[in-house]
Amino acid sequence: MRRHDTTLVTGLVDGELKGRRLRLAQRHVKACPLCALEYRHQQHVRQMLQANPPSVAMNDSTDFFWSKVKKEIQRRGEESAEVPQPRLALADWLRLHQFAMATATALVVAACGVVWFMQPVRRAPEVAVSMPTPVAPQAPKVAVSVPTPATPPDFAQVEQVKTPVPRSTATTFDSEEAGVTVIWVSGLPWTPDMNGMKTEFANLDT
Amino acid sequence: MAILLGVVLSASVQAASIEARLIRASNETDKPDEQLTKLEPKLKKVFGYKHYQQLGLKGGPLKENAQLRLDLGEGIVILVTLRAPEKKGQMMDFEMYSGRAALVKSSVRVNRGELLVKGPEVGNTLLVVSLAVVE
Repeated sequence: MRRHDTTLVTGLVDGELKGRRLRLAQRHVKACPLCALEYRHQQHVRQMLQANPPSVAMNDSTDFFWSKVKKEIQRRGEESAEVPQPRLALADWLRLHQFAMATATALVVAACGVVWFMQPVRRAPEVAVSMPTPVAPQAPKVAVSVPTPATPPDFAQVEQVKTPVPRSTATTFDSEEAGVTVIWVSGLPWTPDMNGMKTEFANLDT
Repeated sequence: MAILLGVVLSASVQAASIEARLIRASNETDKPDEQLTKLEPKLKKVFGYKHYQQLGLKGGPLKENAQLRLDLGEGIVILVTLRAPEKKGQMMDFEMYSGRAALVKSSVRVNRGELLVKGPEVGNTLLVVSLAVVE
């Protein structure tokens, strides 16, 4: 609330303001000498009026008067009336929308996290292949490519590949560096020696 | 120590036969295998091991719709069935077995390139199969 709005000051004096409008008006009146003066002036007028009620008697009875007010309200029905809105400073706006700001900040952070997390996926054409053995060499970087019409003719084209061994997977890629196509079967049972391998796979019925 | 079992398969349009190798890859300091002089640089780039040893080499003629069985040793057997030849290369079904267990089943079109198959790890070595179609 920046502008000196006497209507709002009047509303404050009359006790018409509610919620945030009330708080903003109160804060403004405390901080603004001009509106504080207006506020005190209107309060003074109000007190004077309360102390000196009009002596003019109404022609209508009280009940009849209020019945006319009620009818007028009903006649207007849903007709909208303009209510002055206070202009908000940035600090007021931020305070009013603090939950929205917190939510927006959380969403931005989450979006950044997702983008960061997805970066390795974007770099999928280069994958590091690691050997899960104690002295396995450093895995080479290989280029992964799905067979497409653009595949160089030197590469074999694997149209379909699968491994029937449980808990293992077979994937294929073209190693641009080596110039060969590779079927990479991972998850096969590890055995300590060749005899162990023969025994392991001899008992594995796929 | 991991054992690298490799089958190298190479093929060409006019290929009449196929050549398969069983290779063990390890990091043991050993003399280079002269039989793998041409293939070793490619194997190093793909699998990263220092040393490669050929454990078995088998080949045979490719006949349409006929299954070729190649026993590469150490219980590794591959089955290759040539489908109808195509302009783009030889379309074939490739299966790799260890004992009764089928490790890989694949449909591959091979022209001039080679195909490497990463097999099981044995100790600190890795078994690799190399497959190529030759004229």
